[in-house]
Amino acid sequence: MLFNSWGYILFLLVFVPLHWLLPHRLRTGLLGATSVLFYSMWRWEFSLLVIFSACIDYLASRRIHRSDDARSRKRWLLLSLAVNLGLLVAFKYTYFIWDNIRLFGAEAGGDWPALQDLGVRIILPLGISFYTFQTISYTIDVYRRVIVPVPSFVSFLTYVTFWPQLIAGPVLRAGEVLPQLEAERRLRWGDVTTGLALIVTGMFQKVVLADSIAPMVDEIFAMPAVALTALDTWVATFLFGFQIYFDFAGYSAMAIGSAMLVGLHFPDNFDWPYMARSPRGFWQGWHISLSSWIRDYLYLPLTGQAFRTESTGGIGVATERKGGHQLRALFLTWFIMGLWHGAAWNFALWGLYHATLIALFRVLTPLKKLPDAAPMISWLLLLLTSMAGWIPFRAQGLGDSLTLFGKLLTPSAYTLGGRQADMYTYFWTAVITLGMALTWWFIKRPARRPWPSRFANPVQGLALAVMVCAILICLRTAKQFIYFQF
Amino acid sequence: MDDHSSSASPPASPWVPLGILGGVLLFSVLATATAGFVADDVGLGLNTVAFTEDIDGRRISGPFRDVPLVRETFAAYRAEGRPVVLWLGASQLYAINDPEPSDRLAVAFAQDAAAARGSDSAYVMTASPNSNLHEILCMLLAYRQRGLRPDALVISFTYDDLKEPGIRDTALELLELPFDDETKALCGPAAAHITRAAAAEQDADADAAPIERTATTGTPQERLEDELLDFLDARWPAYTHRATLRSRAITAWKTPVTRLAFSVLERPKQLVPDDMRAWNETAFDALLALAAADGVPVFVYKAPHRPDARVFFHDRQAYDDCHAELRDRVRGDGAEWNDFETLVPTELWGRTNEGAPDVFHFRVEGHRLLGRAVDAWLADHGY
Repeated sequence: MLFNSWGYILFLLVFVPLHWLLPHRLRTGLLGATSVLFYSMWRWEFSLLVIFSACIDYLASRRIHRSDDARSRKRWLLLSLAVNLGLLVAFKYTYFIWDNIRLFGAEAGGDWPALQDLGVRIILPLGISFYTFQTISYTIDVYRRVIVPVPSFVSFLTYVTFWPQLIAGPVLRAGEVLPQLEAERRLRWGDVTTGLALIVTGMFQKVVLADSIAPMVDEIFAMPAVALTALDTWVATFLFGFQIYFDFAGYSAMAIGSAMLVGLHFPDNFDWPYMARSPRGFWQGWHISLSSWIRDYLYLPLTGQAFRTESTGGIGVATERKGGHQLRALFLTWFIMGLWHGAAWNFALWGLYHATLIALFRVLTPLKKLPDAAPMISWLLLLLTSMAGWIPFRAQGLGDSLTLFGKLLTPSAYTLGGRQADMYTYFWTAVITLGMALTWWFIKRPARRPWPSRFANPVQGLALAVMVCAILICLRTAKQFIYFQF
Repeated sequence: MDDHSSSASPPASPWVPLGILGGVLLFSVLATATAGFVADDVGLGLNTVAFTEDIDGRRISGPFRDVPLVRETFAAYRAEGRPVVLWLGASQLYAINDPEPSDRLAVAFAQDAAAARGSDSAYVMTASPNSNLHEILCMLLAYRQRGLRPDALVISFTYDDLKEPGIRDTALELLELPFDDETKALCGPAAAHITRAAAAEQDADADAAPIERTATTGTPQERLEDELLDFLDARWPAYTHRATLRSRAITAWKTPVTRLAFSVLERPKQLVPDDMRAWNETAFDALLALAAADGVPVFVYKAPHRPDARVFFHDRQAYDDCHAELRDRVRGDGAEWNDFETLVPTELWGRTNEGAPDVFHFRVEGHRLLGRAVDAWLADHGY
């Protein structure tokens, strides 16, 4: 089920009051049942896949916990990883792997048909990349003896399938969610009003901002890449950067707000990434739960450093250790991070681009010192490079990505004559960029807000009224979230 | 068990539910207040409004979507034995600046003029905004493929629309594809352009399908959403006006923003690219070829242009050269050419949304002048 729909509003209106009316012992069961219903509103048969994945991890984690035999523990861990990653690879990467085999085969003179031509049709189950990571982290945490397995299968299934985070995250650790599910939750009006405010704000970001920017982005990227000027390319990347931010940050806000309505608290998933002054800062503010997951289950193990146990802090970690080992881990991590986002080489390019940025800021002393020495220049540099990083995400394939990167690096392509995007699009790019900076200024520095603090709540109420009105005007369910495809 | 939710609970704010309720009320008030707003008129310019034209309960003029109705009228006139003049063009033909509800389009004035001189010639018209020559070809084919071949064809030629790329799906949907061999042979490259555009449109739909399917298409959620929208439309009158309010809201900020943007950075001169012009000229050749094959006389005129304004963001020389070449080509094919550039005096033209002089749309008196001029021209040729 999509959050940006009347169906979801009805879902909340029915099940949130019902949750609070039920006795405590039945509430978690209701959350589990409604989560399966929520997923089944897309395709019921794929909810069986989620339940199967949960069963394997429930069983494996209990065996791992019970056993003191290292080999047996490892075997159960490997079983869990094989099943989860096997499903992910089968559903998400089969076309990609086969297409690349065909490509190499063609070089060797082979002529093998595409899977689609053989009648193979694979539907990517919604949210599989997210819930797979969540179940893997549970089993690994049990293996690491960070947590003990939860006795109740209902609680565990609810942790895996809980509707606010099932489709597109946040990717949460069992240690953050299961204790809350097991505890007796009390209805607190602070949770309810904050949750509602987050849902409205998130829906505004998605329905009004992201979906209004989308047509401008589509128009520019539909043009031949070679026809765009460098300025057109910047406009396109900035607008797509804002679109994907509002799209995904909006989704995350709705997820966190929805969880609060039933008394569950999730950590923040976004924290002003475009205001960061270093790549580390960017990844401490963008999709924090995923980058924290990558940090603890991939990057830190590869570097031999101690992992953490919370989905906070992002991928930014201290870099006291030096050497090629760390750099190899960095690039491998980001290569996998890129492919996690999509089964195509342009996503791998996106990952390697960010690995390069991080490495440059680690290795080059002037860049390392820049965030403190010249914060404004550092911010501008990060804004430009992080926006340019979206090119492989949105361009039509690797070839177009490289063409557009080439435009940005070609001085003669910086011309207003021959531009393809209209001036209206240029204008809005500037307005959104400035608007973001000003909003950050006010929110991060409450003392500088233009209204007295006693008016903060009425101002919030007024802002929500305007947002609700705009949502009602713009709400169109057909627009799915960008991150659903991952 | 511990109460894990208690420690981090934020303070409650009554302003949140008040704000949400206020937003719903604000929407209801605004939606009801803007119910009469006509979104189709927004792109035409300040106080310029799209009109359709009916005579005796029959639709004689409209955009692409009205072609089925106009086809019925065409067939009815033909059944009555009246000669039918098919008039094709862009928004100038269906938009009126500063209109009264009783105002009429040029096609109706032409019909009146024909009747006044005792001719039973019947004019029917299809016109759509920014129609390039491929789309005008689609208009002709939309009639011709149903066996409706006019007794005369009038084409309003607007230089600016030569730069319009592509063929809109609303034009393609009027056609029966694939083309038969005769149409393919007569239309030449233009037939291939149209076929390719239709295929691309289908591919775009196919490309979109998996994403749509992933989201809602064909799912229980889609059915639930349809039910809920039907319920809201039936029980909440303001909600039925949401699209109108959306158009009104976009117009409210888009127009001033565009003005501001253009005042900061001057709009660049948008020339008609040579390859775009050549692409569109293949459609013009097809129009002439189809008419010649059917024995239909063709009347092409240079569309009226506001006399006091420079040729809007175009190179005057290119504008004149293009029309001179077109005139020679039309006459070379045995068709008729007329120059109506200065037909409509300055005081009858409107303004664009940006406040600049509008060189495309004029008031009802301009329509009267154009309708009478076209009919007089056809009268000279026996219609």
